Amino acid sequence: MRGFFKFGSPVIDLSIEGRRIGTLLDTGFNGHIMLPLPIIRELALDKIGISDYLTASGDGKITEVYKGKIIFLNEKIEVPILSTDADFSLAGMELFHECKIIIERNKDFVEVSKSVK
Amino acid sequence: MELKIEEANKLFEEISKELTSKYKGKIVAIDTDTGSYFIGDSELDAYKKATKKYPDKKFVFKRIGFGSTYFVGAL
Repeated sequence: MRGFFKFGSPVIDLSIEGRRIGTLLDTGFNGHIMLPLPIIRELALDKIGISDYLTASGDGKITEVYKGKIIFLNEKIEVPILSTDADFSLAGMELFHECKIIIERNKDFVEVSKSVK
Repeated sequence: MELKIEEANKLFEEISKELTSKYKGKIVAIDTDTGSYFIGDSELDAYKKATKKYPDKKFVFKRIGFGSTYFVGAL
């Protein structure tokens, strides 16, 4: 799948519960997906509990955990989705276990593909 | 049902000492009403095990052997 750059950051579009959402490809996030609460409410995701995360600035935060179905590399999978008060969406490294990621800013090129074993 | 994060943290502290050597990196789903916990490879794995016993409940998810369950580098 091809991505693009937005304000200098790599972004990929994901289908989350049928809605196309641009997610920042965040290699510093060790979860699957993080979405703003308003989007989570619009998608009417099922809440499964709460968890916690640490930000790069060292702040500990509590987050609500939801589950949702996404289409990723032509496969429909169910993943945990964290909530945030921030207004951008993240795709994290847990999503890319079996992937090759190419980010070439100077060529305006972002690509995520299944890695060949 | 109200999730009591402080109670979950206290229980997690108690159980993580004995669990860390065997389950480091795995996810535990804690039911704060009963003190029960369920270990899985991921949140959804732990959640599926937990809801087999407690359907429709919500849980506190923690990563065994780590201070934080998630790290979010961009926020």
